Amino acid sequence: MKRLVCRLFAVFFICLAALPGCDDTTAVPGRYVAESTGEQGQRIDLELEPDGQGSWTSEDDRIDFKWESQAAGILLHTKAGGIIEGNLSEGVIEFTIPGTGRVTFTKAGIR
Amino acid sequence: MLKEILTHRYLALIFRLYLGGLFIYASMYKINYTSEFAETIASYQIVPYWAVNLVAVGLPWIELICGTLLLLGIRSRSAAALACFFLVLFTTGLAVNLMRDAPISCGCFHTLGEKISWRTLVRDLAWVIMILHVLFLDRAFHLERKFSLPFRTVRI
Amino acid sequence: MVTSEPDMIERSSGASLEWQQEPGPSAPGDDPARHALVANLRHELRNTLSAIIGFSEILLEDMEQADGPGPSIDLQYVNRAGKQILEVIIDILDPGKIEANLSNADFQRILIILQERLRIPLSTLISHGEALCESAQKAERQGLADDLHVIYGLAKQLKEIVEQLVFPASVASTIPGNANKKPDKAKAIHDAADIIQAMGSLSSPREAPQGCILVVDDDEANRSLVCSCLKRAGHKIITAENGRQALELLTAHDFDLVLLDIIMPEMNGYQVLKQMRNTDRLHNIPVIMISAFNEVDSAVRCIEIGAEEYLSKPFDPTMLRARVKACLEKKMERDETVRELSTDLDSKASQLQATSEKLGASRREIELLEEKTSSIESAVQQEIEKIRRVSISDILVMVVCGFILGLVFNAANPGSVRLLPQSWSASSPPFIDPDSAKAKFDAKSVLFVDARPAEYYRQGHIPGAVSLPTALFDFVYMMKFAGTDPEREIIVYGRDISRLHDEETASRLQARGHRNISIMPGSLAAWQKRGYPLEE
Repeated sequence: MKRLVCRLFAVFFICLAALPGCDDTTAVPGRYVAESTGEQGQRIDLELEPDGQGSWTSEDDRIDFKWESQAAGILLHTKAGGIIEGNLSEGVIEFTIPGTGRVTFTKAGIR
Repeated sequence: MLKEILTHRYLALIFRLYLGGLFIYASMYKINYTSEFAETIASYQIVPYWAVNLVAVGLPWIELICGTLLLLGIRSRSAAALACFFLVLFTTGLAVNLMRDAPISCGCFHTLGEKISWRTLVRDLAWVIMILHVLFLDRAFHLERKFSLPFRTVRI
Repeated sequence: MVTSEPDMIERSSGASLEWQQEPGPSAPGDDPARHALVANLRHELRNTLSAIIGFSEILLEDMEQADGPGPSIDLQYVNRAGKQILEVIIDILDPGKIEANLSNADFQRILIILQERLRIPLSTLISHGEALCESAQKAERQGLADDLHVIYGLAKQLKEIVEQLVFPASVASTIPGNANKKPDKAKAIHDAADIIQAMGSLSSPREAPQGCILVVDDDEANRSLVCSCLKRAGHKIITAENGRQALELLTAHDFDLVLLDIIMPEMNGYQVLKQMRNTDRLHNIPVIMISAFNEVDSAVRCIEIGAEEYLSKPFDPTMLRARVKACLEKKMERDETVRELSTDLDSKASQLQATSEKLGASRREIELLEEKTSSIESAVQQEIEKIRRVSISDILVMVVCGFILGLVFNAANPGSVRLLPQSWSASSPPFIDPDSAKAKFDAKSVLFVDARPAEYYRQGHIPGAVSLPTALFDFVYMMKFAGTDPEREIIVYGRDISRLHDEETASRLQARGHRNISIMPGSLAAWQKRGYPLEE
């Protein structure tokens, strides 16, 4: 009985260790573009890399962040501790930035 | 019969393993996103501004160590006492912010978790009861026992 | 060397006295004065004879060893005469014969008979003593001459004693303790003793054990005789006149042997012997009793009390030396045995001591080991107990390790957080009170920025204020503030106990080039408290 429980322990630990690798990020990474966004109507490029890093680039500025994929969409984690939710569907990601409104990105290459 | 079930050592073992895993899982996110956890701590408006980042840096690792010791059954009494302290602290912070009607999320496992509610408080209280059960009744499957002498008086 | 003349002398005095008892008016046997007279007379005569016989025999021995010319024949006559006189005294002054229902008249007749019987040997003694004096004048060695004079002196004194045997006048003269001492005799005997001691160089000392001997005798002649006899054998001699003096000397010094007379004033020999045997320190000193009493009862009594030997006077010097030698040898053997036993005991005791010390050291070592064992046991037991109980030290270790790991991870992490508040290091923009802010709000000349999280902005904010949460600053600034005039006056608000949102946002705005920034530190609570308008 004890041996069985110990073995179950071991299996549990191994599974626990393997958990972080269960994210599926294969379909999301890529470059996305949002035209005429913000008050200045600027173009913003969203780069999502497979390793979880990303960038948000406008004409004058660039913001780096970490991202992760979730069931309904993706999450952007800012360096300052903020988090932005985005809905992903068929190559289109729509972010809701508090105080700003919605920003829609389309995957580059998809019309 | 009920008392026997409630005080059974295997029940304490189940609670111990569950809470150990819970702590480890909870610490993972906080270690990866320290700044977000700092924001979560700040949102509770209990810790002073100069200590928020320090707590955000140290607390997740303490949770990880605590959870590991609970899972393995090494110094499990001390780990259970520390875990009990944290759970009581979180529950108290939760209760205070509920009374303030603060629009914050629990922050236990994810920054974007559901907003705090009385359900959240009940859940936290359940965890507190579990950890108390482990603290007083846990006596099964301690890895420590495999590498130490029996509990009876040592004679060399 | 015996000649016929000494034999004739012996034959003429050989007949013993036949008692003729006459009935008397009283029973003389109970007269204490007569008892004293007879005993003391016997004692005195025997002492003097003992000295004469002893000295003459010593000189004869020396002459034999020296093997030189000397008055040996006269000395032999003197020796023989002395022995004959001794026999007569023993015969006539026998205590049994004297005290058996004898009247005073009979007693007086006995004394007369004694004088008569002693006349011839006494004259032989005197004549040959005179011859010795003449020989002394011709002697080459002065020591021998002096010695011969001494013998002659003793012979004359013996004659005086015998001539004074007149009852009762003789009683007074012969009772010991009488003031009539004979200083001349004592001096002569002293000198003779010294001479004889000096003559010890003529012959080699005997190869016998030598010791320290105490000679106890009230008679000086006898003391001198014994001293001279024994000093020649190489012994160290100390003398005492009576028993009490002897005991004092025995207490003060160490002696190997005691030569003890029986009849002495103050304390007799029996008492001294008993005292010695009852004293631990003196118990083992051998004692040779020397006495004029030639009685078995006396000898038995002495042996019973504890004497080693019993010698009667006059004694043979050779016999004396032999007895002394035997006693000293026995004592030496006893002492040697005691020493060996003592040495053995000492070595055994030292072995025991060493073993005892080793045992002590071992015991201490064991105690030390037991202490260490018990401390190890208690330490292990404590550790085991920790499994079963909550340990503050364990908790502290967990907390400290957690913090250390967190700090290390934060230092290595690209996305690390600042450990100390930024406001501690950066200079803060100027503050503005809510009233001044309100005035500017009314003038619509300023842009209000709400730096709090969006949830709190949604709950309520200053009308027209823009949400610029610190956590999303970069994103919101890019979307909303990118085209804002850097000179535009901006008032930032929003702080609580856990975050100085206004200061962080204001410093970031300054970093972006905005120069006209101020902070309303009271936050929305101060604005609301004044009743200023809010917007949800």
